[in-house]
Amino acid sequence: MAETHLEVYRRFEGTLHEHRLRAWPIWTTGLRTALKQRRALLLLYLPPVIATVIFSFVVYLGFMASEQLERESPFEGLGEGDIQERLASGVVMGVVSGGLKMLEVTRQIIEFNKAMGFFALLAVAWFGSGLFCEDRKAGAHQLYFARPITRLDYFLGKFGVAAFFGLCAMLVPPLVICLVASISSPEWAFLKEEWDVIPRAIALAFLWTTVVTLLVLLASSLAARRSFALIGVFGFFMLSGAMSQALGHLVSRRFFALSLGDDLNTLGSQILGRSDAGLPVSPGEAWVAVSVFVAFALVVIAARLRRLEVVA
Amino acid sequence: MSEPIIVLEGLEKRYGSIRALEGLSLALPPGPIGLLGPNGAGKSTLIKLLLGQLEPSGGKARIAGFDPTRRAERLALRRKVGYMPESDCLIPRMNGVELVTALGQLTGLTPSDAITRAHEVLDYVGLEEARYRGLDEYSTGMKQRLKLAQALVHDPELLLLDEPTNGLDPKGRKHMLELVHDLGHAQGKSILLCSHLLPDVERTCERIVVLDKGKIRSAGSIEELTRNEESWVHTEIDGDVAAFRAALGSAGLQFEPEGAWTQRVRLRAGDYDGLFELAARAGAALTELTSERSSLEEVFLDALEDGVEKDAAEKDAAETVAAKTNAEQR
Repeated sequence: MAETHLEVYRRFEGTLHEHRLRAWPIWTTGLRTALKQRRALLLLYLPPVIATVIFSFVVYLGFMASEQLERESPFEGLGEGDIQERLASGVVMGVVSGGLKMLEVTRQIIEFNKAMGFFALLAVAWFGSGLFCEDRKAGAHQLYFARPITRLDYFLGKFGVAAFFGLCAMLVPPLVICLVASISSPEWAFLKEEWDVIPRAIALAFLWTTVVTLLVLLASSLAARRSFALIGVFGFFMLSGAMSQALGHLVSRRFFALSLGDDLNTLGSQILGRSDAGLPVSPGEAWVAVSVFVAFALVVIAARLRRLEVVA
Repeated sequence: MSEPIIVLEGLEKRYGSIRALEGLSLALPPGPIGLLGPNGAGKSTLIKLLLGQLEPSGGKARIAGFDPTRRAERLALRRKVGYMPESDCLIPRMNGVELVTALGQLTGLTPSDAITRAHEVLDYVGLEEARYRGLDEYSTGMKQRLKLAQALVHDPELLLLDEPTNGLDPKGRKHMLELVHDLGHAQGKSILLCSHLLPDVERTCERIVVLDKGKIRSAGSIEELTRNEESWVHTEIDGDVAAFRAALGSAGLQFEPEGAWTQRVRLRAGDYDGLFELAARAGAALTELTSERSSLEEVFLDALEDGVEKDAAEKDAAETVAAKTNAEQR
């Protein structure tokens, strides 16, 4: 027994289990530590929360107004009451109803979903950019890889942490709004007629989050510091956008596909079933570009993680 | 003799043209073993090879019966091994309990077992309320103890401790060595203690492996290696100095007078009783006896010197052969 304190060593009498999901403890630990950054959470998620609340209210109000307009015509009983008052009420209802019809709830949800992509990028970049480089800098990889985990487990655990924050921004708001639309639409009309918006929104959230998370983890695996990884992520978006614009206009339209942001926008439009002729990249080119990027990111991350675990 | 816990067969590691380890062959039995060597000898490289964190350039290693180069075996061996790295390697934004619990879960403990074990090992290493503090507030001593705790959380058979007393103050060092001694002797753990500090190894280990420039210079139990080892001791006597020195000479002991009452005497390890008797017979009394170097230090330095001489001889031989070959070719 050590002499300087009274504690004795106690043997572990239980058994060590072989986890099937070995990434799970890495994910839960990563989330727990990330959730300690309360100020960052507040700053990053307050705008999407406010936007979701306001937009939910707009959708709700739109459906209510539309329903009321159907129930009660503003010109019904003309001459029996105050004509001017009825006329004014009718104009308001007409504007709301007309506005709703013009913009369409579905299209608004689609636009809202795409707008959330920016917040998802911010969140993933903030919480994901340090995942590999901070471990490497602190030497924590030596602790991880002294445990019975593979590089894939480590990657999946870290990927899960960053993707969680992306999905919180990208998936939860559209689902909340779809829920509000479903509840407030007359006789669940939204769910019956526009149900496909929900799986489309989910698919887009997963695609966007996966690609953005891979970009952030790629930067984190290459950078020496978290701040460098953050600069790398936003620099990549800006540079690839600028290059694609320059080369797209000067050389060939195909170079527009170099912009990951444009590619994701095109794929978003396709997934959400909205054809947008104004987008510079065709869906085919966008799929190819995103697939190439994903493959590249996975190869580089795999090589960098191999260096973390085993040095040849 | 029990089954060896570590077996090396011609293990090599090269970084480009630099040979970090050169054909190490060795079988180490369970128990506390000191891996001694100067900085850059290849100690940490060997530990990382044993854990599968480095790939060997040649040869084989087996640790606790597993081959660390095979993925499945590497995962199995990591359940049986606890590793305390040399550098500060703590997961950012965690506190002590969270870190040890998380690493326990990663090794296969259930969440409830992991938290219980975390508290037990943190108690054992003496991290009291500090376990709830953020790791960035930890002192070097706390970090070292935390690293030992995380290595112990799954109660491994074998501990790989890389310079556990690095950066510790005397009190912290004493505490750490007590813990290591307790683990190796009272708890029956096999330990590979990697250090360049001889007293640390001498105090905690039963066997040593001396590594220098990537080669094993000496290996065996400390008792065996130091049994016939001679070292210089400083002596001070009270009484007939001339008779004492004459007695030393007639006993065949090498000595060098230093002062009126003091002299250096070359003695075999542990042969102090004979010196006391000799002094008594010469009508003197030993009032002071201090060892200039420990016996282990002698073993260590001899091993390094022999290694240098051997390397030089090998180099000369190689050069001679090369020159001869060139001459023949001409």
